[in-house]
Amino acid sequence: MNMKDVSAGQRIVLAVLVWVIFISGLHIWRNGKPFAGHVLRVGFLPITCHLLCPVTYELNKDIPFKPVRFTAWPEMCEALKSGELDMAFILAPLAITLYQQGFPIKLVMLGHRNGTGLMVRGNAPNAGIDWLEHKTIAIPIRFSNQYLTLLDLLEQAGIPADNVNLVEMPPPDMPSSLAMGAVDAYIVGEPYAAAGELNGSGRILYLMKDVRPGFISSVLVVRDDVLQRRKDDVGRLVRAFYANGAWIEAHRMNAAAIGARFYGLPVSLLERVLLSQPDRVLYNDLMPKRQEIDAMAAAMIKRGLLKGVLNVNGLLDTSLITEKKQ
Amino acid sequence: MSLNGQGLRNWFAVRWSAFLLSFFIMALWETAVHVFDVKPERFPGVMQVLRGLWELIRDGRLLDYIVASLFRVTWGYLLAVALAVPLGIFLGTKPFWRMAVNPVIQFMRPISPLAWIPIALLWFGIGDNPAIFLIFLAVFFPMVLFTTSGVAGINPTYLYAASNFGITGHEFYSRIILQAALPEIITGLRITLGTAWLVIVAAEMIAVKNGLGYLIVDARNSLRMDQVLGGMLVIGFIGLLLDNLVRQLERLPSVRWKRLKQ
Repeated sequence: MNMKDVSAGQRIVLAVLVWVIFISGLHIWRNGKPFAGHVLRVGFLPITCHLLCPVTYELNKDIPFKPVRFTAWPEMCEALKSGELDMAFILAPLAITLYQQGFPIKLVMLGHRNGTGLMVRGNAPNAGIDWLEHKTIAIPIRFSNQYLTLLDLLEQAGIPADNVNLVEMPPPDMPSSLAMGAVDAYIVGEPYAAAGELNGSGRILYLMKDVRPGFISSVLVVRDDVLQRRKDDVGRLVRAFYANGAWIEAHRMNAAAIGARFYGLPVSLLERVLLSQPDRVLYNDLMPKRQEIDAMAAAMIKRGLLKGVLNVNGLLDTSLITEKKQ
Repeated sequence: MSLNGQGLRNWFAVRWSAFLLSFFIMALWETAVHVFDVKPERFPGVMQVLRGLWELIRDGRLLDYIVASLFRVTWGYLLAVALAVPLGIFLGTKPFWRMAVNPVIQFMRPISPLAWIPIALLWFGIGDNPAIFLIFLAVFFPMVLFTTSGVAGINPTYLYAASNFGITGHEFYSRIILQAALPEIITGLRITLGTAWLVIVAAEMIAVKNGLGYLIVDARNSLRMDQVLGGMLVIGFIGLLLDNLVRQLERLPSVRWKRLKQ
């Protein structure tokens, strides 16, 4: 019996060993990092505010960069901090917070303008923002211009922030939460406003183009050390992003198709965002202005998201866009 | 209790009923979706889910994700077991240390591995390591406890017998202690493997860019409820296979001795 046992044990150990080697090899083969060290890694989320990332990847095959897709803001910030990303499209208030926390980054351009909607339940009375008082409203995350602007709009309507119930929620869940009645309204970047519109769960109360023209959601940030080490490569990529803003404006249909393919979203959704109204999202004028960042920092201080004075000159660097191509 | 004369016939009958029952549930699901006219974005039917899965199989992503999840579970689980079993044997044989260390382990064990996610991200960044770390935590503490109680509960008669025969040192541990505690260790292995599979899916929703947990989040972001459900089916199916695999260990003669005696 003893001999049999030992051999059974040995067989198990051997099987486990074979399995470990097999699964590790398979994992490295299928999921290993296929890109070389010189490739710039740029983080993005599948939202229209980051559409420049897939579009540039598609159009500028000559530039060595790799779009890295994320599903949530916190982990993208972690990846940027830990050096797994060189650059990232992130929410502007999040960029300001990272910088203020002492993490050295430069804000080099905007993702897009407008491109955010305040949605209310489809069966809500055809009233204005007053209806939102004592209602539940979903926001993507507190460190967003969506949140700051919502509070601003409410304040203008004379509704104190305490009179609404704000909940943080991943944007993809917002349209269905609205349909189920879990929330009465939500404010979010596209295409999740259009998603609520298309599935019939909600209607638009405001698009930012109408109430906050030039609205900024995300910005492109670069780590300082990457910028110093590889200024030419980063500059070339940033200028390509900037130039492709104009390309999207001229080829909205193609841009919607590229976005749908990269994001795995229905093309009808992207077309709704890009083609229904010309200024629902804008990809021109992506140069951040100092006073815009100042105003955002002031709003963040007012809402308790930021302490101390932001040194905008240390954060903002638009020289890459304006620099002549060498 | 286990296989006897009628065993084989029973085995087939059980497998067949399980198969028929799952088929029945799927038919019921598909019919209900049609009868109540449920919108696909709320709850898609079976056929749509299978089509969504087929899409994932065809472009190779499903295989990649399964491999990634199994890789993380394998390493997290084996590392935890490799450290927990020796520690458990040590604590099981040394009552003083057991009493000293036990409160710490009992304190750590009920902290959900998911609560460690922020720390895992901070320490290990993004990728395989934070997920492996979370699996490790999910397996390590319960496994120490299972082994400790298995060893501490060994009938002292065996130990006296062993010392009468002059069995000491390495042989004492491998031939007496380990063998005697094996049934409890195997039970621990089975339960913690189930936990590991539960945790990996949740961990991959946060810390990585592939794997079956990521598949669920990613499908949700793409508004693909069919692939969310497809991912759930795959997770359940692999969980079932893993449990079956570890159950095989319980059939080993060195494990069954205790049960047969009871």
